[in-house]
Amino acid sequence: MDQRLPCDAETLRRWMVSYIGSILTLPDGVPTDKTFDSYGFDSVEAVVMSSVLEEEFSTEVDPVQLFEHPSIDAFVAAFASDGAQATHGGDV
Amino acid sequence: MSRPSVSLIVVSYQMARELPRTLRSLSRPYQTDLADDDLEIIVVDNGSARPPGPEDIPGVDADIRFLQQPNPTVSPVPAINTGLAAAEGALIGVWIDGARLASPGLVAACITASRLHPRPVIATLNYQLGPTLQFDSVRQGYDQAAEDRLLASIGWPEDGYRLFDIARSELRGGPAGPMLESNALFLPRALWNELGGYDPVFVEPGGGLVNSDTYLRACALPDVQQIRILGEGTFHQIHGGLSTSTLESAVDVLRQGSRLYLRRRGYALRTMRDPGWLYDARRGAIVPMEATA
Repeated sequence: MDQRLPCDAETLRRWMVSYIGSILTLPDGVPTDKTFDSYGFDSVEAVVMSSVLEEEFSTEVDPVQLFEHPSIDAFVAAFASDGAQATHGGDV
Repeated sequence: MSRPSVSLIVVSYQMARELPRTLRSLSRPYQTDLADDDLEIIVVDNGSARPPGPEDIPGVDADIRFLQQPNPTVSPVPAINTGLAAAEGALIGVWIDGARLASPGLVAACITASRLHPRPVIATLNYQLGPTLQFDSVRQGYDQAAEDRLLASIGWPEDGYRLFDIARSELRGGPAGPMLESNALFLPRALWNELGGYDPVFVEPGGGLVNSDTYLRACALPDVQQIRILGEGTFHQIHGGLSTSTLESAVDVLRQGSRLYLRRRGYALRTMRDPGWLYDARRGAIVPMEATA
């Protein structure tokens, strides 16, 4: 995965919250700052989500990056077009 | 001859080492609590250089038919559907991968479970032989020779339940956890008909995610009851399968398969989070989810 997704951070965050929220029943909503596995979103589901992200945003998403950046906030910071992190992708 | 209670469809491809063990594990006397005419096994070979036959399983006394899939493809789907068409049992179990051993009470447990509900979808649980899941084990040197030694170390097939001592569950969340497939899925004949068998749209090598698709579609049929079998299981022997050989190939099968699934079905692949009924075969009872924790 050598490029950011073609969407801003808020769009990507909303998309991930919506996707995970459609799979898991979490009374307090999907926590964006917690690791995926801490609230029961497992690795198989993460790989599937990477594929759906690819289809949704028409770009390559390496599922390994969801394990390298294992929360919504961390992934968004690394891969949204206006993410907070300066660079990420080609160097990982 | 009366119709068997259960038909097992076993798909093979280049499994000269693994298939004889699998067939032994599916036959009496290894399989317990079965009557003489309870069981038929249909092996559908999907294009092996040397198709298997009765000579490969000396000493196994079972009703086994060996079929060869005409015009075999890289996907096992046509072979499975050939087996489904040939099966005569009221209950039919599908082994998409002929390299999976069974525990000794698996078939009888599925027969018993099939009587618990008029429309049962019976999902057995997947295990992999070896110290860890096989894509990880191979990085530590696990191979067919190591697996042969491992099976010898428990004296297999003397006590088939010792398979649990040398295997790891594929379900990270336990038997009631999220599940994507069952590698020995049992449905009554009528439900297989309703489902239309395995979907031939899955033409990719190994069938891609067709096994997940079949399990999820079966669970989505109206008024069905998923029943997961505890205390029994199927155990994968290493043979170079796409989804068990390396982490990279396992992830790739899931990744590419998920994209195809989304395009074909119009919705994303989802693990089955509702475990349904948990039938503990050793206790002969449905147990609460908490009992599996």
